[in-house]
Amino acid sequence: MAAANYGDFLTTTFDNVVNWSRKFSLFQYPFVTACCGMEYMAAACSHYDIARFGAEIPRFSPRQSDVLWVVGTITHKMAPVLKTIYDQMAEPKWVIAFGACAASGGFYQNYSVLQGIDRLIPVDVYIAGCPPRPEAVLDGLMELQHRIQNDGPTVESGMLNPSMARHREQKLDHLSRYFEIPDKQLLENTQNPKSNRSTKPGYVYSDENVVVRPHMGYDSPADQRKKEALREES
Amino acid sequence: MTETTTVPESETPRALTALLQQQFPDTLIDFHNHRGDETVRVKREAIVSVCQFLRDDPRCKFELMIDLTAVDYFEQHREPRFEMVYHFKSLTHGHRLRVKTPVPEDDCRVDSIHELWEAVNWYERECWDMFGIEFTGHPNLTRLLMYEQFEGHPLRKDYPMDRQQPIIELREIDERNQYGRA
Amino acid sequence: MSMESALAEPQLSRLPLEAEEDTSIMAIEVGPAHPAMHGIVRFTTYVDGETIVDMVPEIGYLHRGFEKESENSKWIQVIPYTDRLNYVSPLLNNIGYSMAVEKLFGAEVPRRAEYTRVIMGEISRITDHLTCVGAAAMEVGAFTFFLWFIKAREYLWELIEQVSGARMTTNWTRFGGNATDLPDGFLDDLQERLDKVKDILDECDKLLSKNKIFIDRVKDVGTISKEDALSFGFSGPMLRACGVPFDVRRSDPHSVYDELDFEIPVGTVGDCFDRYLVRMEEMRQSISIIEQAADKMPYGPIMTDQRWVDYPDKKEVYGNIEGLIEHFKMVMEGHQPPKGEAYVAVEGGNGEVGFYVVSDGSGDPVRVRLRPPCFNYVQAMRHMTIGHYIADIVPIFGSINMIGGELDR
Repeated sequence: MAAANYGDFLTTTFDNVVNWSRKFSLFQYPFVTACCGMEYMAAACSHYDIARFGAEIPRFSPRQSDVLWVVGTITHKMAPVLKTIYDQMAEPKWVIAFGACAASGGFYQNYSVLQGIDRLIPVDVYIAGCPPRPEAVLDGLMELQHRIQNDGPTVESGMLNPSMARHREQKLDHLSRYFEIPDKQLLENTQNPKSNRSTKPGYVYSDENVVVRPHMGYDSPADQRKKEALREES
Repeated sequence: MTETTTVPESETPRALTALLQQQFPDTLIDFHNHRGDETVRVKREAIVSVCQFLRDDPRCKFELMIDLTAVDYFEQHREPRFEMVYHFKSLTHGHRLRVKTPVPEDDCRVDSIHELWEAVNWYERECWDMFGIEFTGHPNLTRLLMYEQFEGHPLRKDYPMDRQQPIIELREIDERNQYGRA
Repeated sequence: MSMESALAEPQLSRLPLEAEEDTSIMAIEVGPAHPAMHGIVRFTTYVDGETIVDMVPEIGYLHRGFEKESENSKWIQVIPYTDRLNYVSPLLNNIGYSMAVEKLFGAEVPRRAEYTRVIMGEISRITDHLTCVGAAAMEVGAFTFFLWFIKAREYLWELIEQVSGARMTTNWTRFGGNATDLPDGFLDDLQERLDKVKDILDECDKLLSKNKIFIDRVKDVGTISKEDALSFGFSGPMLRACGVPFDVRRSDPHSVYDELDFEIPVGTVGDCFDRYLVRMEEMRQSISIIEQAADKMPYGPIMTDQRWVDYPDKKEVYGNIEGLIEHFKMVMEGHQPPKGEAYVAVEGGNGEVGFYVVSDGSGDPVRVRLRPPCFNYVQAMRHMTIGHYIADIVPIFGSINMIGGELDR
């Protein structure tokens, strides 16, 4: 909300009003997969009422919704479906990663679970918990509303939605503050030496261990052609 | 208890086991009643006839096929490597039975019993998906829980747990690479 | 288009190809992301006008590798994974898995722990049925029903939270007993809340059970005969609605169910309406079971004192060296049940939930297998929907109570 000079006063007030109306009339698309869905239902129903924040009715069409609530574990089989739904939503759109599995894969680190939906789509708010209490859900929703109010596209952020740019900064900042552990230790798996997880001592993440399969046909024809072109180049 | 007790093999057979011993004399490999679960182990070739007998004979009358799965004994270095496990339940008599049959790794195939109970169809598909055990005679042996492009059989012990095979291109996130985690 | 019989071939022998040539058949995807908040299953329905001619269910969208994860954990680390299996009745999964490993150990659970397990298990069963019937009714159109049932579920979840610390993913049972005991004043709170839940049940019963609109929607929809149900491996409320009085609590009584007095509601026809009525009545029976168990609650320990099954008392751990070593070994090497295998079935909210565990004497499980009840029901979806309209998919699927975590593990 930066007024570069006096002439921007009208637009910033207009932006304020538009953002205010956006944040209090969020149409949500609850992409519910797993156990977090139960807490989503609890947050949406009478006891913890999400309707008082304006986010009343779930619109089960991505074309009509603003916020994509990714609730629950996303597996590799489900990932193309999630990407399609995200692509079908119109701008401005926001994404909430609800629960530990959506944020980072949760405590499933195996062959079938996508380790966090931010590997697929940009996320605005992560709500931690397994499952998060409804109060945490409402807190996450309020955080999103705060961002919608305060983060319109600005010139400084290169006309990017600053919440997306800020997301990167915030994550780096968090990681640098809380993960002050020497790199060597993090790479070792001291828990279960007999486990056949690939995070064993000396393991470094590399693309050798991740095999990319051809898409399942959920891309639009234009995207498919783009991908074909890229694959032919490399 | 840290001492490892093996399953006692020399026990008196219970009624069902005795019946099976009588009906199929050379197909029963062994049996046990560990913790009260009546278990018999039969040869691979006889599984369809044994299951049909269990379903139809009025002394057995196992209407419900409860579970069908496999166990991989790779780490215990057992030959044969896999063991199919079938659980049955009878509503008329109330008894339960577990039938096991060993499956070697190089000839990883069992006869399908899908004609006896409808439920078996998907259970065998899932077993093929997870272990790679082929069921001869199954009408539609395709992947059930994993996606078609997946290569390998995840529940085998030599499939590393972390090997992911994404079917859609993922975004690069630098912070994750920095700390060496997927 | 009359209803196909159970095991007959579909009209089209090689479906997708013939569907293209025969232009009267249309393929409609009821896709993986759909509003019925039960989980993610995909149905490819082939319809002639509005009538379903064939249907292919596809599952596996929530396959999270429970069995592979449990092979790479210790025995006790699997208990949180079992919470997430049937996540609307997590305590029943906890109880089932703990019972399976206790069977391997040959451990005995003290009576107070058994009674508290019964109470918590039945509370979980009530929450399961509340969620299932509420969501199914909402999808058919009765939105108020859902809101009232979720309100009732909140009362019960607050109870569960008092005992185990979490509303949903409880991680409460341990091998040989439970992690925590009932707090003071719990049994009075329990009685108050059960009365409130009973009032809500009565109110909602008046709304729907004689409501012509609802009955028209669910009567004679999704009928399955007794023989087909047995062949498909049904159990639980689905089988009881067909007329077969099979309940694991009666046929293979575990815990203290043989000391409690309850009835098994049984339907006649096996359609969606019968399943709804069976579930409503089961909730009342569960309330009565809880009240009986609360009356008969004995005093005593909540954990077995058999060594090597449960961590030693903290006095021992900090007091003498043997306790310290025992605790250390149990944590680092894991619980070590003797070599063998065990299968335990509990009556889950959906049906017979079976845990098959195999141990080789070391601290790592060889195999932990869950037998999912709703696997059979979704397999039978094709049989139950052929001949009905597209709009009937919703009540049929709602009456199945498919839980993604249990179906796909």
